[in-house]
Amino acid sequence: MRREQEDSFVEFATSVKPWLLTTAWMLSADRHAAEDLVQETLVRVYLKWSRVGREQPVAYARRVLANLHTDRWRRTRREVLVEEPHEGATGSVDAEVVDVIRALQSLGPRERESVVLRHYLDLSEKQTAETMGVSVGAVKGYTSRGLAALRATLKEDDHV
Amino acid sequence: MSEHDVTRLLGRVAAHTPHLDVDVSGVVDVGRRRVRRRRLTAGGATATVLVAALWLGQGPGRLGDQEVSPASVTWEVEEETTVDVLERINAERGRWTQPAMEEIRSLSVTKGPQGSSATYVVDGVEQTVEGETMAGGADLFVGEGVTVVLWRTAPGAKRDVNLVPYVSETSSEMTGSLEIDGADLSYWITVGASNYRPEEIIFHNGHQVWTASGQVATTVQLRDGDAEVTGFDLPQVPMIGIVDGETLGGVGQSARRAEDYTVARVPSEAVFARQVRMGQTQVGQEREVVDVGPAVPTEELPSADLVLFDWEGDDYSDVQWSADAITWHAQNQDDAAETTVQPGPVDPGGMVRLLDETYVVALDQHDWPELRKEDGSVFLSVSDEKGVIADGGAVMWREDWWPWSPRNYVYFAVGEERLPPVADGAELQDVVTVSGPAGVVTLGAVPARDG
Repeated sequence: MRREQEDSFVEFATSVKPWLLTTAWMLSADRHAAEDLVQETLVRVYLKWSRVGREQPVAYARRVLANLHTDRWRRTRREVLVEEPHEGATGSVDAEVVDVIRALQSLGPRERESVVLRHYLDLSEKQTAETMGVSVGAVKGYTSRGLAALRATLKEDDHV
Repeated sequence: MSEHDVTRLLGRVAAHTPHLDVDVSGVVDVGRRRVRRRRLTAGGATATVLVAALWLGQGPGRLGDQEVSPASVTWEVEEETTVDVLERINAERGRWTQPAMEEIRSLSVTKGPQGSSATYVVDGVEQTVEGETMAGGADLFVGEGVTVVLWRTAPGAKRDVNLVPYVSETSSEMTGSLEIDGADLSYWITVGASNYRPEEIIFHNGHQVWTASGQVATTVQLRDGDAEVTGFDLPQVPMIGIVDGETLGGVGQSARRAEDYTVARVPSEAVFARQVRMGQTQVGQEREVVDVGPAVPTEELPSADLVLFDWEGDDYSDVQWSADAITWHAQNQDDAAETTVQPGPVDPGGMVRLLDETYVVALDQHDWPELRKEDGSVFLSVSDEKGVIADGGAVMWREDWWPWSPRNYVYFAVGEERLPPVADGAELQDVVTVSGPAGVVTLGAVPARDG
């Protein structure tokens, strides 16, 4: 890869890293897995940078991250969601955040992916479908079920 | 709890993300190493040297991120041995199930340290052929209308093997395994093809692929939705294909369809691919695209890219590829064959091309979609501070500086998914619909004409 291409990749990777990490953490609920997912995502974007760098690198990175997340839960056929909500800087735990994290963890992988892509990354149904590699109809179903499950879980905790 | 509440809650979760980091310079280092490894697997002489090291039994190698140990498949004997192969096969498999195979009345193989031969009776005629040594040390017997290959079963390999080149004539094949004096042997018998002489045996273990001559395939994982297979490339065979659990098969120029997925081979410059549904037409007319599936990223192999599509339906029978998800090409066309239908509606953040210029879809103050140039300036907006300007209109600009130079036009219709005919009958191109929360806008262009 030419030097200027590599420089542009570094600039891109630095700019997208924060939201990629947040997305990966929401999906995996495991900080180490999230860092691994994002590192592998960025390596794969690097390998195709000469092609995707000029066009839609953000969309490509999202798609790779979603695929790697799918790889991870398919490989294990179960997710070990052991991440305990961390304490804030003040030492106190934000109860609402803790409840939402636990509610996200209770969703199936595909439902969690769909809800995070639609409502954290604010993707359209079509963009979410392309990211997840499924049809728009499937996204509607995953999102609907995911939101219903979140509502039910959070309602129990009186967030509704 | 509304969807807005969910968005708000996730925003708060995002704000409380624990400290995470990835070292970008480390990413670059890893990427550079993988690029170097890929060059080793795809290159000529260097790859040959590494393959030879594996073949000579110098231990398992690591090529293309895989780890296999190809070993000789020679059936070795210390003294001359004659085996009634047909009798052994019949004993293990029962009666032939393919009528063509019943043409063989007997088949025996004589193997010794000095060489081998096969004797068989087909159509009442007895033939004896000298054995040849093919890839990996397998024994090859090529006679009139019959070809037999015998080899020591590759450790770890599935029973499903491929011989290349494939038989081009109509013929019958039988493959399986049998034990001879403690040796686990595999066989392949072809009946009906004249002088069929395979050159290579392709083995796999469900996720890794190698050849009898010791070549190790570069592999990639292909997935879309719930479908997942392993793609492989053996540039020196040459062969590109997939492994789906127990079976291995090549992927040619046409898409390969299985029960619940489709695999297609696209050029190396492809980044995305999609399945398309073509419309019905009259005889003599060209088919048009009537619907498209979601864009799926392609996976790169040394010789070409592969792409896997989860099942969309039997109607989605064609494949297109793209380098930018905007301009799409038919799978097997070398020239850029732009379709008349751009993917749409295009949401904010997406890009559209009009008259060879790329514009970004953004939102104006009233949440209508607008087009912006790469420098961020607005190219086309359908509303001002008071609201929507008009139901439709056009943006025009001269091709050159003089007042009478031809003009380019971009027509638009607000809230509509199609454009009305242009007054002078000019044909619209680059037709696309863009969308925003307030509604959709459809655009089409007419390039400047001479005169």
